[in-house]
Amino acid sequence: MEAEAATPFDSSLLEDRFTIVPRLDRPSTYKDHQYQGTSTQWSSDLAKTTTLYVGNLSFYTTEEQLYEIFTKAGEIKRIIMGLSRNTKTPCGFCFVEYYTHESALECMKYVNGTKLDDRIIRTDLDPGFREGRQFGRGRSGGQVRDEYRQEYDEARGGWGHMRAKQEEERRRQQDDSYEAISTVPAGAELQINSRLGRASPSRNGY
Amino acid sequence: MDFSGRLGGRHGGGARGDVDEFGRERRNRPHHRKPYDRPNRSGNRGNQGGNRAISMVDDANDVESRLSSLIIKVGDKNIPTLQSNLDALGVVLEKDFTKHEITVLRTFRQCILELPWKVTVYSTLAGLLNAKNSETGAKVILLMHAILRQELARGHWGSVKVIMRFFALQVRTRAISIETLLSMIDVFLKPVADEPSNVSGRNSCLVFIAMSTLLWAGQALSEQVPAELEARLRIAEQYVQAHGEANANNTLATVLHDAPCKGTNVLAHLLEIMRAVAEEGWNIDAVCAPYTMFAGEFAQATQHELPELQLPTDLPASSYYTPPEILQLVPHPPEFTVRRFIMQDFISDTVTQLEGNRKDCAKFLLQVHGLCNEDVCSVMTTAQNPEDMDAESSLVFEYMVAEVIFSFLTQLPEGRYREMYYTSLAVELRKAEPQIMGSVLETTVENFVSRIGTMDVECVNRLCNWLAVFISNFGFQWDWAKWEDVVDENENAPRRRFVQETLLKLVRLSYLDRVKAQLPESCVSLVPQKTPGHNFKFTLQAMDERTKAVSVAVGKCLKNKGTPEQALDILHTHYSQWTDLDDGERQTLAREMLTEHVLLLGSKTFSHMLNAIEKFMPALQQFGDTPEAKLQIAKVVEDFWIKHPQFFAITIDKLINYRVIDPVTVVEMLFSQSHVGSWSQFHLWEILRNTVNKVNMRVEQLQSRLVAAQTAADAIVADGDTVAEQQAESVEHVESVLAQMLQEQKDVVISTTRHFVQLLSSSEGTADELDRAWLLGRFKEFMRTYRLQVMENVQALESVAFTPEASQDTCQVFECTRMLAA
Repeated sequence: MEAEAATPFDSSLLEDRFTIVPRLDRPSTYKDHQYQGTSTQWSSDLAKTTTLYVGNLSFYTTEEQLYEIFTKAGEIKRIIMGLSRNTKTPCGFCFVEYYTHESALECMKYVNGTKLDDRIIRTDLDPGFREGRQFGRGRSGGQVRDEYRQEYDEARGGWGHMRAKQEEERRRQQDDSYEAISTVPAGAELQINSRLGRASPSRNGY
Repeated sequence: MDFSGRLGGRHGGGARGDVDEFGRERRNRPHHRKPYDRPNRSGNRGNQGGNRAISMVDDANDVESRLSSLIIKVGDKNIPTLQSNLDALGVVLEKDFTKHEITVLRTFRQCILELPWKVTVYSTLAGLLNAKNSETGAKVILLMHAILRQELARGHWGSVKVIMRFFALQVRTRAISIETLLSMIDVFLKPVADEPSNVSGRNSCLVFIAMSTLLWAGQALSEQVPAELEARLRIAEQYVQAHGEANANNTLATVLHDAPCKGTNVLAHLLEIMRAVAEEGWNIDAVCAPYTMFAGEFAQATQHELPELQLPTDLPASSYYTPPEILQLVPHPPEFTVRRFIMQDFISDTVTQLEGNRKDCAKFLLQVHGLCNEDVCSVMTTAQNPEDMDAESSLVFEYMVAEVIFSFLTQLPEGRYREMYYTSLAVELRKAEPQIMGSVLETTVENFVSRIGTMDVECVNRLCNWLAVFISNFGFQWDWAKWEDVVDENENAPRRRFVQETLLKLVRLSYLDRVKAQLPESCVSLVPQKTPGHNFKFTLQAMDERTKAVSVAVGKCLKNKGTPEQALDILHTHYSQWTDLDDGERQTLAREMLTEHVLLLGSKTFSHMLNAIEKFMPALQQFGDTPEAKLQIAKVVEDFWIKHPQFFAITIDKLINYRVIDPVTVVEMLFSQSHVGSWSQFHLWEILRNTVNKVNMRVEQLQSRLVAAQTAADAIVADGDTVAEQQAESVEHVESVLAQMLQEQKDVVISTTRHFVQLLSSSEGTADELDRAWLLGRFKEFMRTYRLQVMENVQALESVAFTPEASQDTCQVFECTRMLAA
């Protein structure tokens, strides 16, 4: 268009994607550490993906519940539950695959950050599910985040694994060093001076 | 807002000095500008000496972000210093313009697009820049015009509307001439000026934008060219009249049927508003109009010529959009209709323009009242005693926001964005203002629900979905006791159904005990007693010996990872001995047996279900060889999941995916006689919608695949490649699959419509008046949602469905659908 050439302003102003309010359907810093490919590939995969990684789920959240909320952004192709490598039970994440890229974006805009099972769920654009990714990568079989978690989270198996080990160790030590009391020391029977001035029986020779 | 702090750290906020943040004189003209050099005397940032080069880069970024934030924040509130703030910012921007041109322009561009309620401020600012330096002015104005053309070509009507309003006000700042604006408006009016009686979605969209622009340009136009204004108004009026006549008695897209059906379209309402504003000399007094404060500055401004606008010609009819008229859900004082319209128009634009980020949208929404003139509306979030506010004596801002959200949510035939947007936006509003927005939204929902008997059925469904997700985001707390009287109502009474379905949705989002725990004793009877589970038919107690033998054998086989062939073998071995039955009967029993066991195998989770169906697909497909057989499979599924509607829906969906059953099978199953009396249940219609959507999606996908295949084939033919033949085959293949899918789409639309009409036209079709009302509501929903598919099959529908036996109201729905599809 010849009008374009005559514009007095820099033509990049018609192209740049600057917004005052950041859009929620843009990729975040989320990255799959075992992704095989360059970061450009990662970005171009995300630009057309239909899959989301979903995190911060309760271990007790069912596929049915996930369907119910995620279907609000579009028709779901499949849901792959994240499982513990060892126990094959849900370990707090999943992949949701839609039929279209638009649904994945709408999910980022409308569902990401809302609550499911009283927990704020987090979604991220993901290049797509591959066999093996359904399993937790933590040393204990679950997610890595549950290895190091320091706070108690009932819906995610209580303490984080490291902390759980520490707690276990402490309990063991306690059990070891403090034997169960079978005979009460006799001193416990004796009455002791009270602040009211009543002398103990032994001193008073009762 | 006091600017003194931002502009160079001068405290006190008293009289404005004549130095800016860089310590330079304020009233510099551009031709006096010297090459940019950092003044050392400003003192407040003390950059001197050796690291000057580095700090200049840092400072440049810093200055840019400061400039950007100054532009974004200016005029957040209507305060006495607004004029001087704008003036000061104008000076700063004008001075630094050449150095930070890109930053300033793109910030400005986004302010217009993303902060639509501040249009009066940004119009003034653009006018000031233009008045100070017409080159700068030209850049701002022409950039916005280029963006306008871009958005117009893309069919982004929300953006087009807000930019046009910006241009309407540029007449006041004399950055463009009245003639220029009129010619812009004329572009939108031309289609209806040429052909006033041509009522269409496209024309309504264009006229709406033209009218919105005229509303804000009215004052300037009526003062200077009243005849020209009259002429445009007449065109708009004629169209609104034609639109009204074409849609007379069309209540197909009406949300609430208790109000007289006059203002149910946004165009007629806007026209009324314009008439009222015209009577006040086109003065819009709701918000502050800072451009009136700078008349002197604008007097000598340069008016810019703009290139001609082009309406897009290649957009599909469905991409044209008109916003909903805002429902009145709380009482408002009638004398403030215009102010309410203006404020809700800004709120609507904000909801539309900030859809990309619901969290920030919620925060900004709560500030939209910032520029209101005194006494225009009461604001609970800034009031000392918000609970004392009376919606009947003044406009309460937060209630206006709530009304807008629910109007968008229930917009018919469909809204601009997904329902979930309005749900999570409301969640964010309540998170931003827990007390106030919590109670405002709750009251609005209660008011809405109190009119539920007259509400469109689809809207009842949407409100139910909305409420369930909303409640689940706030610890499942809701005052159910307020609705406890529904327990005594008829099972099919609208309000009872609404409460019950909302509770069922909540159970789906969590689990039964969680929901029960929050329910008052009086409401516990509204939720199922037991956790939803399956209803396996072949339990040991309820079988004769030989059935038990088959069931146990099949069950064992499936449990031990038996193959479909093995399962078929077992069925054959057993049933072939049942010589008292004929082939057909045995086949029916075997079909049921296998389906029940496959479902049982997959009953644990959706993934299990998917795996089970996938594995036994060949066997199921073999059994589902006739339409009757498919219907039987579908009915077995329903019976198996009779207590678990969500699993029912998902299983049906998977069976369609694997082509074990057809979409038409689902239609037959849904409309079977056994559902008479249960038309009020939401899950049946959820399944219908899912099914039709799936069919439509397949058609769309194939259509785009066909285009891709054709382009590929053409390219190869052009190159004279030998692979061309193979490609041609692929086109043929896609074509034939598409033809098949189109037939399937047609079958679904016709058979659904036929069933609806038959049931509604016969006394056997519905149990009672309430049951019929639900069914009629769902019929309307189906017709208007799939109006395009309905229109493609008008003739077939006339001959099969809308026969002389069809009831009058169904024929009327058909008529209305045709009007709506125009």
